[in-house]
Order: sequence, then structure tokens, then C-alpha cells
Amino acid sequence: MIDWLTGHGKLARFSNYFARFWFGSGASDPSTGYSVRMICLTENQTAAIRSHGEREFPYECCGVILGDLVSDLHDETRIVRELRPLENSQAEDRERRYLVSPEQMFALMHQERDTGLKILGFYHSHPDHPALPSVVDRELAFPWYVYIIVSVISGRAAKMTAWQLDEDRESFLSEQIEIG
Amino acid sequence: MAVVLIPTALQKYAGGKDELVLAGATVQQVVDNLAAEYSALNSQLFNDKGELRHFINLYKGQEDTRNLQGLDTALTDLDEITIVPGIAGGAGVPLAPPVTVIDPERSAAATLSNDEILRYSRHLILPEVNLEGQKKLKAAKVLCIGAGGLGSPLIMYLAAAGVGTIGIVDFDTVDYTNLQRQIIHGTGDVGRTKMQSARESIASINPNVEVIGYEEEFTSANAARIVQDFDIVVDGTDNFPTRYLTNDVCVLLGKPNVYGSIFRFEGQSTVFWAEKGPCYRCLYPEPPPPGLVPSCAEGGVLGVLPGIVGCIQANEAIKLILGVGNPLIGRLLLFNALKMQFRELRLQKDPTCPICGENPTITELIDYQQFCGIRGEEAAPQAVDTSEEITVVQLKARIDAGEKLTIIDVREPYEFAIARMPGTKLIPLGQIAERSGELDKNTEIILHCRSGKRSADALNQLKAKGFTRLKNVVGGITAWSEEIDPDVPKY
Repeated sequence: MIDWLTGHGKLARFSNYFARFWFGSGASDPSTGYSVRMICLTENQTAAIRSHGEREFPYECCGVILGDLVSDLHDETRIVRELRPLENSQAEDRERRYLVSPEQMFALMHQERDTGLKILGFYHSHPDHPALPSVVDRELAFPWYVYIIVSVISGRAAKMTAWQLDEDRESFLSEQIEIG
Repeated sequence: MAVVLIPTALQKYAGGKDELVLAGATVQQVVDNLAAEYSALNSQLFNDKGELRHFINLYKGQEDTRNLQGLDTALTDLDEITIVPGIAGGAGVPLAPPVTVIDPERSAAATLSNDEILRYSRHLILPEVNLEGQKKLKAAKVLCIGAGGLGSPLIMYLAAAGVGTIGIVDFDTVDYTNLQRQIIHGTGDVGRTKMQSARESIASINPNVEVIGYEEEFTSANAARIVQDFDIVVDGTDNFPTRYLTNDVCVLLGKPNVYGSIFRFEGQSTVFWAEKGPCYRCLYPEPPPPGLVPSCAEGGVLGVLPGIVGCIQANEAIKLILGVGNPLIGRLLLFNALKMQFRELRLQKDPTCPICGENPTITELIDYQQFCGIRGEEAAPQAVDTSEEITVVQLKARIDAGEKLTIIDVREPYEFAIARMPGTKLIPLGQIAERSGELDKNTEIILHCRSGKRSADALNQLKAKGFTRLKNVVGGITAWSEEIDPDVPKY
């Protein structure tokens, strides 16, 4: 048997042939997301997001998504009751950045307690950019919240998408927007 | 002591509560206690250095602690601390955009019967699949090149998963030696075409799958026509010309190519997709010299190995269809079955690649046999003169006549152990050149191997060393077993 393994010079050359690779860093693995992968909005609600985006163009608009949570053993369903426009508190660069000031957020959180309507997520627009989350969106996002992005091209609202940040903060999982 | 109000986004990390009561005389102490009691919150609240993320604001009562003493702000009994997440973001370079292989209109138009919904129920309850994903699978068209070792598990799992259309390119017939690994075929299929056998296996697993069969050789003449109707190509071939052809046609038509290969105990897999990463030529710009890489028949293969690699290929194809997970684009997965190790190497696109680089020189399909330096379909026997050949019948006659013959067996020792011809001496092919001194140039030397190919190679090597009286046994020990002595096992 030794003859077969070592005497076969071809095998050694073959292994060398297959060893010509480029090396780099490793890849990462995403974890699985939540079971909520769909958000239901009414026609009026999507229209409201669109028109807010168009009004604020060329600046990014932002708003909060309020509603109810219905949980059972396996799942959590979110029911959107209200979309409230918020002020984009960015001091500058509002064409490409939005900020909900801590004061606004503090007020929203305390209203949550008073009204029972929960903060389910936020929406914002991307003026002249696709409705895809950016690196900045990912860095500043929280898991669990639904983030709706509407693309506003030259003042006209275009595609709308919804996302949730993965638990390990690596990527966004896309959600279906159901109009109903 | 403080009552800490938790925002909805973080409640699941705080035991589902929207309010917690924690001890602490300062905000810092309360935060420390929070982190200690609910460690799941840490990755959301703190950065790598353990500092509070800059977009987490802490309010004491109605005041932002940044306007007070920050984390050192003192607390009295039952002060209220609100964790206020900063909400911000913006437009910019999109994150790695979602991989969409299946046209969304086509997948939206796909319908699933109640029967199919029951069949795929274990898929439908996965968030990464659910109804939307199962429809993508149904709308998907996957072309499998080869229904052999890699193709078998691949095709079976794609069918089970509900891929709507599976194309198969294979014109081969099921051989008895295939059954050790090509599990889509059974004992009763020996002698039938692999296409017939594969169709029946698929129909048995999942009758909802439409099979499009191409019982023809995959060549430059038909490759583009076949591939253009499919979304994904999975390469399950066993020879280099077809691998380069598959790569080139996928690059030119913009299709992802799920690659898998095996050699003895090792396997490889990756996804070549020129738009998003490297192609096969980026990795292997030139084919190996013909004859260097043995086929399964010559080198042997652990039967279960293509099973594992083929399943990995099916996994990648399904992920591409669903648009979930991290496909092996730009990553070469290496698997060693004996060591039970997986390794991964990052692959870079080669900007000088002749087909997918910045200045491509290859813009159409070429002659791949010529590219790989092969004259025929498989490594054809080196040209040997008929005067240099001897049939097994002639050989048997001479042995029976009592001639003293020098018969050299150029196979490997383990083959010699399985079966041998009478009165032969073993010198493996790889040693023929160095051990030619053991042979007498004045004696006639008869060479044989298993089928006649390797012994033809040995004959040419000895001719180059000045031997003139040489004969190659046509058909090798296989022919001896078939025509002369059936007791000699074939393998």
C-alpha cells in the first residue's frame, strides 16, 4: 500500500495545483430573525408615508409607527394604528440623515404608557436613494423595531420597503408590506 | 433605587418587562445592575469597550442625564430612569443588497395547492422560508449538469424542497459501479439511462416537479441554448472541459454557478457568480495537464463524499432561490471527510480574469477539449500501433503453447491484490520510467493494466527509453476476465 500512496508522484503535484488560492479574512454568519416577517398597512397609511416623504423632499422625513401587539405562544402580530410624522432633528445634512431627538423619543415613550399605543417602529425616506437600508441605518438601528423606508426620487415617492435588524446586528431581514 | 423604563425594542431582552426596579445610588450603578441582571441587553446597550452606546440616552425624570452629571448623576429613592434609544439613520450606500435570483413577478404568480401546502409544511413554518419562499422555490428553474455522484443527492433534495423545474443534462447509462455513490439510481436501473432513472426517482419523491431532460453532451454548441432558460446552474460534472464550459456559459449569461467537486476524501464547494464575485477561471485560470487528475474510476472515491458535497450544493441553490443566509459567493468551502474538518478560504475576483475581469478577452464559448489538451472525450488511449498490440485471446494462446513470456502489470498494488493475470510482474505505471532498468531490452515485453490505457502509456514511456519489442494487451485484465477467465474479478 505504501507504494500506492507515495510512489504516485502525480498526487503530490495535483495537491499543489489545487492549493493556488487567494487568501483573505473569514466570513460571518447571520443568526435567524424573529417570526414577525410581515407588516400590514392600510392604503391610507402607505399614502401618508409617501406624502410625508414628498413634502419633506429633498430632506429625509421621519415618523413613528404606533399600534398594538398581539402575542400568543409562537408569534407576535403587530397592528399598525397610527403613523405620526416627527421632526427630523438633524442640525445639518438632512438630505441624507434623520434624527428623532431624545426629547421627542422621551415624550413618545411616556405617551406609550398613557395611551397604551406601543412604538412598533419608525419610517423615514431616502431622497434620491433606493429604499434599501444603508450602513448608517444598520449602525444606528435597534432589533425588534420595524423600519419602513420610502424612496423619494426627484420629489416623487417610489418604492417602499420594511426591515428588521437581525439580533446580532449584522444584517436587515426584509419584511413584506401587506396592504389591507 | 430607580424604576427603569425599557423601550419596546429592548423589552424582550429584559424578560419581556417594560419596567424594572433596580438598586443604585447613581445612574451608573443602576446601569451596572441592569447589565448584571439582564446580560442579554448588553450587546444592544454597550459597545465593544463596555461603554454605553452614544445613541442610548438616559433620562432621570424629565431631564436628559447628559445635561446633569451624566452617569454619575445621583439618584434618590424611586427616581424614574428612562432608557431612550436614539432613533437615527439615513440614506447612503446600501448594505449588501438582497440576492434576487428568481424574478419576483414569477414567484408571486406561483400557486401552491392544499396538497403542496401540507407537503411543505415544515418549510412554511420557518421564518426564512414561509409561503413567500416556497413560492420562490416553485417558480425556480435549476439546471443540474450531471446526474451522477454529485447530481444524485442534489437532484433529490431539490425535488424534495419543491423546486418547480429541474433540468438535467446527462446522457450516460447507469453502471453497476455507480451504485456505490449515485443513490438516485438503484440496482434495477443498471443498464437504463441515468435520465430515465432520475426522472422516476424525482417523480417518486415529488410529482409536482417538472423535469426537463437533456440527453445530450453539454457542448459549446448547445450550452447557451440550454442554460438561458434556467435561473441557477449546479455543476455536478466529472471532467474539466465541462467545468470550464459551464463556468463560461454562466458568466456570459449572468447565471450563478453552484460548484462542487470531490477527490477521494476531500470535497470543495462554492458559488461562482461573476456579477457578485469570482468565477471558476479566477480560481483556476488553467486546467491541469490531461491525465494529472484521476477520475473516480482511476483514483477512487469514498461513496458518501459526493453525497455530502452534493447536499451542500443543494443547500446553496436553495439559499440563492430564497435569498436568505450567506451564500458561498467568494468563499471556498473545503471539506475533509477523514479528518472531519471544514475549512473556508476567501476567494477574490481576479480583475485580470479573461472572462469576468475588467478587460475580458473571452466573449464566446470556445473549444474546451482543446483548451484542456484532450483529444477525445475522456483521456483517450495514447496512439499505439496495431503491431504493438496483442489481444487476450492471442496472449492466452501463447501461454498455452508454453512460451516463456515477460508480462508486466502496470496497475497499483491494491489492484494487484484484487485480481491478477497469471505469470505477471507488477511495476506500477508511476515507477515504469525509474525501474526500466529491471527489464531486458532484448526480450519481448508484454504490458497490461485494467483496461489498456495505462499500459499504452507505459509502452510509450519504454519506447522513449529505447525499448523496441513491446506489446500492449488490448482491453487489459477486464478483457481477460470477459473473454478468457470469468473467475478473475472485474472491478
